[in-house]
Amino acid sequence: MDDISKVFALYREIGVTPDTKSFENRIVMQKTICLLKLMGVKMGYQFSMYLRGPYCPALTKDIFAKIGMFNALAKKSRLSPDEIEKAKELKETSGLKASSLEIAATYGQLVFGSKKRPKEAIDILRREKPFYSMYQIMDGVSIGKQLLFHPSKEQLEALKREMKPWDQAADADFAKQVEKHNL
Amino acid sequence: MDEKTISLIDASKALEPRIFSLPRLILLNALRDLGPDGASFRELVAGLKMPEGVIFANLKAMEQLGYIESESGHLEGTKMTSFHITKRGEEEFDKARNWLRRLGD
Repeated sequence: MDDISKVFALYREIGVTPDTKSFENRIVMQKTICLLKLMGVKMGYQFSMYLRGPYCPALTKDIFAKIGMFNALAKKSRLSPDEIEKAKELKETSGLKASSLEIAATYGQLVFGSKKRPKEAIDILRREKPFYSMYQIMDGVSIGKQLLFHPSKEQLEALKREMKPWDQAADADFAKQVEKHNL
Repeated sequence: MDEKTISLIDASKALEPRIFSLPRLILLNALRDLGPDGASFRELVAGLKMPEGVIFANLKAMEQLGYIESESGHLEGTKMTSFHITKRGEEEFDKARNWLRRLGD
């Protein structure tokens, strides 16, 4: 069942501003909930892939309808210690940066929701979000993996081999930026 | 003429003909799903795979009709324009979509 009180309690826990006027903040509001759901926090709100990546129209509808009661509704919901820990982990890992959250949520939804292979998920990300640099994409993917992927040692080695070309491309992109801006 | 065709013709009088172009229907369909959140211009270009000029011209035309509103903002320091469908836009698009579904029956 869709639980807006829990959503607002989570926003309060991680310090998300309850502001629907800012485009950037609206991205943060959607993608934090998508990631927390993928991390196992239960609160309803089904996400599917839309034009903007993983998205939940029902969540937007409830946020806009009830944002005026943010404090009252946030107080109604009691988060478990596990939920508080996950919210904290999300905040510390992502820094609540909109672009990182967007990429991490899209990567997470593709790999853990739609069961795409990591390399295929990155190809889709590059195609659907060409306005992000390779460095931004790999940074967001890295955040997604930290939050969602807890591999065995063998899985980790296999993944490193698969991701090597992308990591090298990201390093090359970063080096170009360093040279360009004389950092 | 059969009854179904007569009924479709009658129903078509309530439609706004200016949204019946492929780019406009595609844009409204994409924005309908996103409600008041809308999408940025760059997301529409990347996601809909239509030329930028086509998207821009049709967004502006539908803004004039009152079916879309634009909003200027920033995303991590980059200036951005986003577009969302209005209540009127939702109503007109839903009418068009229902009529097209009846046409296909």
